[in-house]
Amino acid sequence: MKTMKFYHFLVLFGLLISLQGFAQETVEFAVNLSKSKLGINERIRVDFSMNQDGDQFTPPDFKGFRVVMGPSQSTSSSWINGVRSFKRTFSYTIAPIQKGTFTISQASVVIDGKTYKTQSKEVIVTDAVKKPSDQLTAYDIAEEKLHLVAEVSKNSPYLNEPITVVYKLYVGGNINVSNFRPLENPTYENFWSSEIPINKYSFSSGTYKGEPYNVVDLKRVVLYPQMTGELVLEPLSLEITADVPTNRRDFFGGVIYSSTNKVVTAGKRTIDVKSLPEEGKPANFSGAVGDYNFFVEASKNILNAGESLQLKVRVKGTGNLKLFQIPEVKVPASIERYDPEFSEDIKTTFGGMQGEVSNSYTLVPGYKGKYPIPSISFSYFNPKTKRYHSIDSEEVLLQILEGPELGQEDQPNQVQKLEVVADDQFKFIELQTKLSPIEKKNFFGTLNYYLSWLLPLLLIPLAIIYGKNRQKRRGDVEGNRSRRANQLAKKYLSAAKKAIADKEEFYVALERALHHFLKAKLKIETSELNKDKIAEILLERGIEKDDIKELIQLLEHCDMARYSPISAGEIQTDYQQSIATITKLDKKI
Amino acid sequence: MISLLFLCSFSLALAQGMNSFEAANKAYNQGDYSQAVNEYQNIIEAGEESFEVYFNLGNSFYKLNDVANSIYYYEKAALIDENHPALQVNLSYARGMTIDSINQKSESGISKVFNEFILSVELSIWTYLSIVLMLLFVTFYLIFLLWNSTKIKRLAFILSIISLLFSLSSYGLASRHQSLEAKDRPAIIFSNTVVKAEPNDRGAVLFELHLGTKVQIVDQMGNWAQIQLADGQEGWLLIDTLKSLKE
Repeated sequence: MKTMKFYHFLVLFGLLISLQGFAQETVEFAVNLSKSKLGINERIRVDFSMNQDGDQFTPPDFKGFRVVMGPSQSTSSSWINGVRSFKRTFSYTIAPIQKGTFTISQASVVIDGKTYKTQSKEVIVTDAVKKPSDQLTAYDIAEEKLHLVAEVSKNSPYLNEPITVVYKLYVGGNINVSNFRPLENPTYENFWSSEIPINKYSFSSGTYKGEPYNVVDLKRVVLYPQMTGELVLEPLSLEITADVPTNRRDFFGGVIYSSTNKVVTAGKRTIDVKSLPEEGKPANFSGAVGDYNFFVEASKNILNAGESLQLKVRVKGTGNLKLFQIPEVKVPASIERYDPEFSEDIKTTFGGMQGEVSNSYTLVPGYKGKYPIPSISFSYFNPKTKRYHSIDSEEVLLQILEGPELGQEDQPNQVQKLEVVADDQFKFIELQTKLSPIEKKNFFGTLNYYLSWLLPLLLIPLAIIYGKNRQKRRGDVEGNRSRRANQLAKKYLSAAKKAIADKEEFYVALERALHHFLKAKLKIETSELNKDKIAEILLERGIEKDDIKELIQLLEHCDMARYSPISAGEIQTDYQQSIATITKLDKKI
Repeated sequence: MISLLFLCSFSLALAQGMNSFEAANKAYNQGDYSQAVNEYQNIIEAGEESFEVYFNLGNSFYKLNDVANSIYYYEKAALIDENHPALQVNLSYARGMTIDSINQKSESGISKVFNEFILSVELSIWTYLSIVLMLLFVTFYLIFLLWNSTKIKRLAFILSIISLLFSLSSYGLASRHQSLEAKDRPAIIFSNTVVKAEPNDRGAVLFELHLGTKVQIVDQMGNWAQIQLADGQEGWLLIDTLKSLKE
């Protein structure tokens, strides 16, 4: 019995301690204004609330205001799951006396021996409003307490960098939103857009311009800007059906709501889209922005000609997956390449597009051999690192084991193609060689060439000169002959002079001298010597007729004188005559 | 003495080249293709060459999947002996690895046959032919000049004129051969590149070329080379994307 009592005491004591602890932890004393800005013809309500019972509540002096009603005190206290909650509120309704900014100063209360104070609050009193708040309709309240806001994740993204726009509805003042209907959906011009569906609308608490509100996300959109510069986000307009509480109460004391329709609009927003930096921009950049991996894979590497394989070019990662071109694969011309099949596996989440896009090429090699498919490079811009990145794929090597050999398609007899296959394997290296110096000098065009080509031609003028000389020497025989004849002429002439006493001898010598003279001068033979011939030749040589006649007479006289008596004087005259004639002719010929 | 020394050193170098060749063949057969490439290139760096060295280099690069180098050395071998059967087979294998496919444009008949005829005879043969024919002309002309018999004179004159004409035309063919050779500047693309309409960065892109494609260099301006493809298309590209076959 004694122990039982002791246990009861313990339980009670524990309870007390826990209550004590609870009480000590969370003392709150706060002031709450129904609005912080009002017209001079309006009123506001000021609530001072505390969660512990206190004494000596001292209200502020409400300077600049007139207390219309109050203080009215309300106390509520409840036990829920063993936790006690307590609330005591002192309410005043006050009306402003004049325009301006006023401060509702601190109120104080003593709880458990300690003094707690509220914060002081500013109230702005403006000109009179048309409808004082106590005459507001449900629509007016809805207008004041419903706000649609577009939240943009980034105001100046890069081109093709994803941004998200969230349309949030702020609901205040115990309004219930029962339905909404979009009136005007933005088209997001110059953006690639994707809406993320919202399965369940759930409220959370937030603040709007410093006042507590309930917030719900109505629409979420991911946008990829497709143009640089200032782009305008069109506003979203919604028609909202709202139930607004009225001041009236029903029979059971419940608040009566009145329903109203209200159009809310999220304002225009301007997004400044930055262009991608030019610095370090790879040549093959095709507009991919994000963070990617890049692969080129062949379904098989070893096959026969005529069989097909799939070559897949994949880009995997996060970013504007639908908005760039996958780089094209280059294959050797001898492999037939069909147009690629595009496939995508993309999820659009709040962070943007995620997944992979791929181009699948069907390749059919036609000839045997080894075909390396060169690596291709994929470049993208990463907005996080603000740099360009490039990924080179690995080279894919295709080996075609069986099939016709390249270069044979030009041959006319295709039937024999298969029979010669064995001969057309890739040839082994050559094992024997004869090395020679690489530098080859061309003889053609050098000076030596021209000399050896043209120098032999010099032999021709040399030969001609030689021939001329020989002819000259041959011509000299004649000259000698005439010179000799001349000498003979002189010799006989002098002989004739010696024999001037002997008539016979004189005339023979004289005739001979004349003959030799003519032979030397006219280059004629003895056989040709007759008077007519001589006259003819002399005439040809342009000798005057008188001179010729004189010479002929002289010759005739010589003939005649041998057989007829001639005086010594005549001989003397003939001698003189012949010397004169010879001298004359000698000059003329 | 000096010439003997020179001969000795030359034969020494030749022997070294032959050693490299054998070593390279061995490496190739063992599958060590990059070693084979090194050894073959040693021979070339030492200033020697042969059809087989180029052909084997092409083979080694083919085994290493190096398209551009493989075709480059096969083409170099083809400059020495175009019609080698093994070369034709392996070159077609290597060409199979290239990306680009270019159709051969058929040249107009007569000039092609004529040019091919000129190029089929080596330049040195045309050169020496012109000299020999010139000597013949001089000989016959001297006979014509100095001989007494009219019959022989007439024959020698005709022969001399014929030799002169042939010598002159041999000279013409030799210089044509030389200019054709000078005009023939084949090169291989060594890095994928774009071909532009103008020799500057602003020029419009005409088409792309890839590793191992053979082009003809037509003209040059600064860093840019004007090239012509086998099908007659022309354009400009950066010269360091090319490697000329005649260097």
